[in-house]
Amino acid sequence: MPQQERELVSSQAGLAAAIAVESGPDLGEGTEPVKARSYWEQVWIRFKRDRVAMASGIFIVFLVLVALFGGPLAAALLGHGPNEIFFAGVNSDLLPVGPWTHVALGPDHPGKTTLFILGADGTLGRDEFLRLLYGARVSLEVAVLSTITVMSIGVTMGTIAGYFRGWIDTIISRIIEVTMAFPALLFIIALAATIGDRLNNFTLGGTFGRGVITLVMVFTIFGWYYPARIVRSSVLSLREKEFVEAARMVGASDFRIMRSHVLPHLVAPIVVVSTLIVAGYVLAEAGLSFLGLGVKLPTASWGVLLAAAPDFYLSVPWLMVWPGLAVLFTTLAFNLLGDGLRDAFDPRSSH
Amino acid sequence: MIRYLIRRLLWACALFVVITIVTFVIFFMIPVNPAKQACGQRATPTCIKNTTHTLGLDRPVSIQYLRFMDRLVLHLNLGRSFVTRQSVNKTVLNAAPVSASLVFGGAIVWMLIALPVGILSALRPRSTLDRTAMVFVLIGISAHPVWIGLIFLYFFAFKLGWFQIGGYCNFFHPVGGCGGPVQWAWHMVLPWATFAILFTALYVRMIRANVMEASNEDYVRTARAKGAPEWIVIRSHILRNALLPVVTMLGMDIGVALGTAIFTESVYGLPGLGKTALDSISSFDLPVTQGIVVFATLSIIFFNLIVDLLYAVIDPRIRLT
Repeated sequence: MPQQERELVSSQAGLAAAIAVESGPDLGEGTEPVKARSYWEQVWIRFKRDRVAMASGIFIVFLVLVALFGGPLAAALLGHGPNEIFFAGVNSDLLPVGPWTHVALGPDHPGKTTLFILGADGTLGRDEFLRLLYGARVSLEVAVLSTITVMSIGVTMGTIAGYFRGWIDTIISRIIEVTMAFPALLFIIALAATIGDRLNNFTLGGTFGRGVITLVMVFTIFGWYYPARIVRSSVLSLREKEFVEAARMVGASDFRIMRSHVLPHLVAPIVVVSTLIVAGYVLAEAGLSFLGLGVKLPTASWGVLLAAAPDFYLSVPWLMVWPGLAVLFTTLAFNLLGDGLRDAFDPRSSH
Repeated sequence: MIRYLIRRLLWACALFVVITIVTFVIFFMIPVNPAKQACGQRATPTCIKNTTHTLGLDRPVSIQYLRFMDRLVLHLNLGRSFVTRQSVNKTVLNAAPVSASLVFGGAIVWMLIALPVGILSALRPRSTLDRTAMVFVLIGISAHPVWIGLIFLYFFAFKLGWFQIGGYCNFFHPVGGCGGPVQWAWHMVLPWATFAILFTALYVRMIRANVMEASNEDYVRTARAKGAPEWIVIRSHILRNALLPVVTMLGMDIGVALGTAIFTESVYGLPGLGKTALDSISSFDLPVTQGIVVFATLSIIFFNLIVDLLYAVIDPRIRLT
């Protein structure tokens, strides 16, 4: 396996490669010049070999495209919107119609029908398929925004605590311990039920659905400690390394050392943890919206759609199948991608 | 070791004060006046004014908090519900056994599965067992408990008719022909399974990682080099070190789950703490919610303390510091 051997040489970093290139002519004509590969190139090569991780990555890209453009596109093609209510979406037993049903448009357009690909979402007769597509956007918005805020606060706090140690570390570590001892789910419920109503009206001028910002805030309050702990313990050992000492000796400021000498070493764990917690927040959004505390109607999210399922699950079981599968595949993809990235970043962690 | 224990006890007290203060502040931001709720549908201004005074809502938050703590610490009294006027102590004591059945039963299930599977798959990495276990772990952490619950109810209770569709049976006192240990266990099988799936997945992964890490330690190599039999190496060198963090996790998870097994409880209609809290919040019944939060906090602190005590016994390193 010549390819693997070649990489073995190049993974001995620049020095070996440089020697190989320089001594190239001496080794004769048959030897190819060995190219030095950067850290990111190596990560990419290892990631490309991992078929499961690649598939998850492609699935996630597809999902993001669907979340961004799928809803409006499908609405334009089908000719009705996700929040439109159809009397004909409910059958004579007062149950939502099944998948692939042509639903009458109503008295204004006699004789015309529109297609419900996955049936209706409940007694209001809205299109489940369209709501699933629009819900993808809301669910991913909550998950990604929460991840961004959680990671920014967590990494900042963790770096500060680990780098400065002393009383700053004590305070931050205590706050982390208190946050961990909170019955978080009860508090999230209490927050969503109390100040949630005021927060829900804060949508950044209609950019986000009602409840999205609330969820992001509660997830941030109770989630930042997780990356903070990971980053803190890494920084504690990184700050003792020679290159940090060298930087300090040359007179670099604390901020500069943290930014240019400590944080670059944390890129790999930060990327991996981010991927994994996106999965966690997709689940959390579904859970809270299921309990009626998350995204507010009529905005659709996967949790909101799942919440309609218990009312009909004996007669119309597919109402729990579609949003449930959407959540399952999404979290599965993010989890697999996270595991794949971890292996790609650190091949020794044969977890 | 005594100093260690005193430190942990003091920290537990501080934690309790901080968390009760935060609940109080959060609840003070409720947009609905609880007195209005307590007066019911035909709330007259006089009724609201009187109730506000009786409930002590016209006092500053700090006074309300001190009165609450005074009642709680000195009389172990959580107050009365705004809505039903029932004692909150009673509500919490009725709901706690339901949550306890779910959480402890679930914990037994997940430990019985996770311990052998986690250890065996770590000792034989990349074996069939290991690969199968990892697939289940991925599904377990990716599927939502609510969804698993709904699927279980549909197939095992509705389609196959093996179990009841939700509900709870008291272990001791039969209510309406439903009670006793057998009926209780019968109703709890699906909730236990649902609740345990996520934790089984997390624990299999954690135990596997810990055991694998411990197997690579120098002292394990030393033990093998000295010719110790394999089962002694596994038991005394690998497992003893690998399972210590599992004790911590188990204590914390049980403590947290007692108050927050809301998803499983609400899918199966179990009247546990989480379900009661959810119901009380939708009716702005502040004392009940607060009572449950206090109880949940106490259970978290209590189980953390137990873990600390256990550690002092099972981990000799603590005794030295």
